[in-house]
Amino acid sequence: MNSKNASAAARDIFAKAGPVVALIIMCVILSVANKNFLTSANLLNVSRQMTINGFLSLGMMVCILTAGIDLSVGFTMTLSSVVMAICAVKLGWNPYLSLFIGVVTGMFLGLVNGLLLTKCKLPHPFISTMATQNIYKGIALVATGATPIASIPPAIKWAGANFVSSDPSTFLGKVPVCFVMMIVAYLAFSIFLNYTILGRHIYAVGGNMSAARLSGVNVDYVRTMVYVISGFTAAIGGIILTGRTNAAYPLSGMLMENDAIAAVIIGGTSFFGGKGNTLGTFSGVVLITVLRNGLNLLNVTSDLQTIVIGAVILIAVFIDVVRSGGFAKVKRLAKEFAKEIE
Amino acid sequence: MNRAADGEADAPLLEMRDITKIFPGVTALDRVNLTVKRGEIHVLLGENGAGKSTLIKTIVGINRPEGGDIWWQGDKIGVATVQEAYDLGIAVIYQELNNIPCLSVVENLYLGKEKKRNGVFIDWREARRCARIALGRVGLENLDVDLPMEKLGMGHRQLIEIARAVDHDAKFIIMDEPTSSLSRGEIDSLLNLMTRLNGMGIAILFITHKLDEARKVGHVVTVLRDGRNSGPTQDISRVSEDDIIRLMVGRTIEEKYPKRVSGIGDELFRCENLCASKFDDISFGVRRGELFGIFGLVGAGRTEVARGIFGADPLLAGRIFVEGREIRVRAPRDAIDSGIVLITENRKEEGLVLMHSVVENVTIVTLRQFVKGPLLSNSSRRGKVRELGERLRLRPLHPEKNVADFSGGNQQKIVVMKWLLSGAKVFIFDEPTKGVDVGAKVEIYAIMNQLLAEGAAIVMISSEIPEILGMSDRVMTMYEGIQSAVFANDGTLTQERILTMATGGKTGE
Repeated sequence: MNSKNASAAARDIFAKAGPVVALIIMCVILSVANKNFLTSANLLNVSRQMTINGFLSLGMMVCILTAGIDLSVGFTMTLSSVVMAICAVKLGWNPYLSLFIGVVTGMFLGLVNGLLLTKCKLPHPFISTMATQNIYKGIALVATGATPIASIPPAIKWAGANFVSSDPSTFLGKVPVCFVMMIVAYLAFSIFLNYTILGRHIYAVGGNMSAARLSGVNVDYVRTMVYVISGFTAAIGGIILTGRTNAAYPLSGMLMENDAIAAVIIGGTSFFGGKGNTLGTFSGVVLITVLRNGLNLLNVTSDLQTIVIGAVILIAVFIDVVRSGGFAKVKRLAKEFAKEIE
Repeated sequence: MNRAADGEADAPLLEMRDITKIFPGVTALDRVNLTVKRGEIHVLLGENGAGKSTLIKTIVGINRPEGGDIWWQGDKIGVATVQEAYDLGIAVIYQELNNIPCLSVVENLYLGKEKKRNGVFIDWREARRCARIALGRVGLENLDVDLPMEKLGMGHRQLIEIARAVDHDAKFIIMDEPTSSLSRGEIDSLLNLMTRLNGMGIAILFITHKLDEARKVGHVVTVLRDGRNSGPTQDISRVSEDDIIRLMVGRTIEEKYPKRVSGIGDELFRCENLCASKFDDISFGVRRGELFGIFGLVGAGRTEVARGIFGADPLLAGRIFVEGREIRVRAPRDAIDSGIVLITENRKEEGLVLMHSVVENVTIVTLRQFVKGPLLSNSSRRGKVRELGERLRLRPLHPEKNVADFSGGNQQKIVVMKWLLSGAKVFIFDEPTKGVDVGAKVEIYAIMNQLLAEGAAIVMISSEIPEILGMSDRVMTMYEGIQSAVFANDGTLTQERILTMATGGKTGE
């Protein structure tokens, strides 16, 4: 009985930490294959590269948890960074006010996505966010005249360009601010999803929308809020990107939604909603970035990298299918067997 | 053993021997035997949860039995898919019809068996010609075969499914409660059609729990109870109705519906002149400790009334009072806050999030109760759920287990736990015992009695008259969206009177 419980617990841990295990295995392989992989310089570089997708993936995850999707994350990020840069650079407004406007812009763009879904009753967010993706991209191009806005003020650049400490000889002087922000954000989202009412409602809506509605959950509110959250995290991603590149590019969000979806799915979130967690998504984000980094170190061309990433997505999801299906079957057979013995 | 030597002609059409089917937590079928001879209309009777549907799913390969053999015309078979069964000549007409609403009649008739020309293209002219012949056999010779299915009523759709079966040379048609969603006239023509099909040499397994229909067309009857054969297969003309009921129920109604000793108090809930698209002018009140039963056939508007009161669907007019105060219900949240809750009939689709734990499901309504400081306290959630689980005897008492792993009766308890936690006073149960086995039924009745004893008011919607009679203090019947009568269940109320009022009869007494 005890060993049965123990093995069940082990299985449970593996099911939850599957992406983490995959990540560790990959890191081991890469450190053996290339001596440059496991250097602090490279790892700190990786930690910085992952942050933008890290933020976009957080928003994407909450949308997918409600069985939705936000295809507009990339250009929500772009448009909010462009609005912020216009305020700070072209209009010469206070940089902190501009940061604030950038974040509000992201949340507003998310709100539009949410309201299209819940008030205009568009059939699926795939459609509405695909449409707004084009619209947001177009607005960003028109607003900038299709040219990047450069010379970003230092206060805005801080998040994307600076290190925790200004003294480069210390360890903290090598840790990027944006990476710390991302870690804090993941911890905050983990608490948000597990220990707040809205967080639990997000899972309930994704798990069974009609049951949630009949339990008095304000389903429309929840489904709107997840897109506002996605807009918020996209705007933070936009701030980091603007800081790192010292410019707001009108096409910066191109295809960004792909990596975000990939990270969420590799991280074990169910595409049909109701299941998933921040640790998984975090692993997904790290896995994709490390994979890209490792392939770069091994001199694999970016064309080939695309194939590898695609294959990893397929393998991750396939393992998930086999694992969940296989386990369910084994469990059922064991139960029936136990019944027969009685 | 030497079955083949018996000759095909002597072998029964279908023979099932010692069929056993086990689901997690429930033995759905326990060594069930069923023999259907050629050219007979075989009635399969049993209460909900007796194993009728499980048995037919075993015949067509949806369920794989743990034990027993199935013989078809003298050959042992192990049907793996519905299609295989179909090819053998076994067709099932399910309660929930299996056609595609947006496709036309002719497309539905030949779906998967399209009439082809040159092996590639669909030969529409031939398909239409054959469709007219096929429909003629079920009395629908004048139907436009290009009409989309969704434009037709339930009765016609069902006949089209039967036509499809006949057209594919079915030798044996299984009809699973085919009359449950039909009007009187449609029922009569279906029963006539069954006799006609029988004349064409087609054997029919007629699953029902309506005895009068069974006697009208059936030749022999087999009764199932709690997943077992209840008595042998008998000639239907030789057994009395009382005998059949005894075989079906196995105990008297008094034993099945536990007595309650609670007193009835003042009025807790009242609704006046409720109107919506599917019902009109519904008014009733329920007192503390009282169980108010609502009976009606499928489509009478019972569920719609419940959903209207609960705010799940909009009301067009009407007033709702709780403890004498009028409340406004615009969404389920308003009803919940006033203490009115709805326990839906399809708990898997609308009542529970199956992939989440008991704790999640039970506390989803009342998360606010568990906020300590800025955050939810998961330990107090677990503690509360465990406490409620003990009170309702949840088995197994594992608050962290996913709801999907519980049996039907225990899932129902989880739904009730959720609403108990929300402080509900008025419980609307929509078909509370649908799809649970007999033992769990009694437990659910006991829970309802417990709620009543604690001063709750219950509205119970049911399509099982024995359940209505056994549990209700008063009974309202509905017919086509109208409340046709309200009876006090004082011991003189009969099944016939309820059924008469629920089928549009007059109070001619």
